[in-house]
Amino acid sequence: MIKKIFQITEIIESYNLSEVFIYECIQKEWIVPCDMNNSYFDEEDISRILLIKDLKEDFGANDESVPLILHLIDQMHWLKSQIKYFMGKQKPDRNSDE
Amino acid sequence: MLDPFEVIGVTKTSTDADIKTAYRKLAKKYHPDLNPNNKEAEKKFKEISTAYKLIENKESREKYENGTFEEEFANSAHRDGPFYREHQGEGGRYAYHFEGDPDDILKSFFSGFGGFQDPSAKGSGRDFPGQDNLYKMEIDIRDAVNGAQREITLPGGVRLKIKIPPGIDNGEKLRFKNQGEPGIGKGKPGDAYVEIFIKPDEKFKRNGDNLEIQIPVTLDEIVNSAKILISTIDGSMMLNIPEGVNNETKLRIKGKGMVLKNGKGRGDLIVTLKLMLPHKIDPKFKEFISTWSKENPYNPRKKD
Repeated sequence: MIKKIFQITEIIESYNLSEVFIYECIQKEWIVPCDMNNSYFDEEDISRILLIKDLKEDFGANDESVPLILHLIDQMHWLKSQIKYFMGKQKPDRNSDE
Repeated sequence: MLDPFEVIGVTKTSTDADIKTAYRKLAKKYHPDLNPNNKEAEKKFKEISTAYKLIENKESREKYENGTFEEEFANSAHRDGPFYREHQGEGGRYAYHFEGDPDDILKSFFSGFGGFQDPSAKGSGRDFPGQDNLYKMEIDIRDAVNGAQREITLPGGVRLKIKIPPGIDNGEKLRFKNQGEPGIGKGKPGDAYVEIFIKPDEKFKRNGDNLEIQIPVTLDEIVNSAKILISTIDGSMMLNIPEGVNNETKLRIKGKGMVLKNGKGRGDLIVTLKLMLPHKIDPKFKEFISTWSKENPYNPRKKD
């Protein structure tokens, strides 16, 4: 499976984002675009930019708290994926019960 | 359409600050990243973000009250686009930046529940291959002809040496095994792909295995078969203009085009001569051409 990627102009237009805001997110290392030239973004990058926008505009998070919140969210998702994996491991094997 | 004041839970006399506070309270309650798999919350969040846009300040409230806001704006005002959790199902790219052994962390996490099994125990879990990642890279035509080496840093700090083979095509993807997302459990990591884009060049145009270039020439050079200096992808060289050529004549220079796919040999450079008259035609030149044309009439529009 190959991820879809988008040019910066596409996401500015599609999601009503400003170029300045996107470059601020890159410069502050809140996002690390999938493309090393910072010209292309995948959907995970876009969803993260929109999350930062929500945090700042809707939740009133300031620049100091944004990286902390992002770190905690990433940690939570990472833990969730690990728990999911280990819970899968914990499921009893039906054949072995017989 | 729903009354935006009602949706946000404010009145027409509420201040900007009151509206903002009420909106933020609702946004926190219904944000889809805080309400996974809750379609109702997503719908509600979009509803409140639209409502807020309509009444967030005096200007927008006036437009709403006068009915002068554009319907298109109202429809497009809601928060659109993917939510972060949608990309974190099995842990996303950003979530994998954490260091440490997940087994150790999870062992300590589950130690209080008892009955913890070794996750590496045979046949006891699910394994998923990691996702492939696609990156883009722009190169110039010289690198596409001669090949090049680049080093890039992937998210997470992994440095990747990229060997661009000579003769690479526009849009060709280079594969880097196991450099994609990590697998879950014993699943293999995904692969990284780097898609190559060849930047348009001012001079050279690619046409299959050949390169094409246009060379401006003077009337004297074209009539008197001059020797002129031209650019090739490998540097400059002298070109003998043969007799009997005309404007738009194409000349082929063997072996100065793209490197062939099999690496054996190269395509050609196709040179198109572009006859350029002087920028300013002086009376002497005009008179000479006029006299000469009368003595040597010819009609280029007439078929031989």
